[in-house]
Amino acid sequence: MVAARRWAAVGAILVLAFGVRATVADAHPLHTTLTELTTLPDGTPQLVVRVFLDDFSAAVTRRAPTPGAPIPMPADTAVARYVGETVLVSDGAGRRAPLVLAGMRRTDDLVWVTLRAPSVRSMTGAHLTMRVLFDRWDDQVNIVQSAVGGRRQTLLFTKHDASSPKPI
Amino acid sequence: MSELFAFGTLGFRHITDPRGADHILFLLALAAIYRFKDWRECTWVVTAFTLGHSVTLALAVTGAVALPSRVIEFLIPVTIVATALENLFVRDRSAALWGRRYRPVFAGVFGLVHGAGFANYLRSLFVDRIAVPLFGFNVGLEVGQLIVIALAFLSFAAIDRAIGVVVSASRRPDLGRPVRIRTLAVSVVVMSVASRWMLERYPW
Repeated sequence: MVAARRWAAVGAILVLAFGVRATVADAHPLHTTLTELTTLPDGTPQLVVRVFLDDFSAAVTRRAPTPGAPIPMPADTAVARYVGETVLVSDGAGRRAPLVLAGMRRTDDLVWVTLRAPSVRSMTGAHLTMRVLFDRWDDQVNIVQSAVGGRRQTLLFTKHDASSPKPI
Repeated sequence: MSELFAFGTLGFRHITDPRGADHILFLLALAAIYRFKDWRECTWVVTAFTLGHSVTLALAVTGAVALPSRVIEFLIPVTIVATALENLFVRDRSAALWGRRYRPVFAGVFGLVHGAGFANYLRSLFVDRIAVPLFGFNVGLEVGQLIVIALAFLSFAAIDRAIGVVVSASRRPDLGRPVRIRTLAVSVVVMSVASRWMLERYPW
């Protein structure tokens, strides 16, 4: 009798909990981009940003992807506008350096976006802000691996510290 | 910031993110049967889970195996439900196969499934130098898991105390020991949430 009542209680909890909509029913993705920051032989800083196409396309076009539909590469002009708003490089004097979209290619579900800041000739005192996809995900983490002047470092950008430029 | 620390931070954030509760629920299901005095045994189980997911994460990220993401996303809640069922139905683990040592083994096996889940998101990003990022990510996951387990133990202790007070006040010793009641309650709630995910992610 006691065991029956115990199992009835377990069953009731199970039904109750099952009826409550789980707050997170989707898979548990890692919202991450990976960027490599280097300098070209003439000193121009170059960023190669790897980002998943579905998220990037949705952020650039400001439209959610249609489930199951093929995702086209966003137009260069739209990408240039988006990265201009979300990737900020400043020189040693604190001046914001305009970024040029130097190329874009796709491998499977990943887009590689190459950006250059031709007005920056020295990385001394330069800073970077990387806000790509912060408009899309609260838990977005942007990783930047820089190899500049023989020094390697890794920077993490989260939405929490989105407004603070980091020295590169 | 060093590369190791950066990717460790990424792993830590991933495992402790309450919006992605699947790994946290699995840890809760694993820990639900333990008390403070069992912390060594619980740590072994959690570490076995880490070893399991490290193996598949490494295999998948290096391209050694390709895993269908829809099947993996379905299998993750299956592992949670299976662990909760084990909590509900096995009462005397010392009499079970391999004594109490079978739990680290199945935690390791289920870790293989969870590692495949991580790998589906990291594979594309880690296309070149992967050793340090992978190691750092796993260290971050392990630290995050141990903190989740420590917080769970604190909550369990409080729940056990509350149940003990209620059982004493009711003068009904037949209701059972607080730790068993807590194990049942935690397992049932975890199982119900994971069962729902299982149905929603059914891939076939």
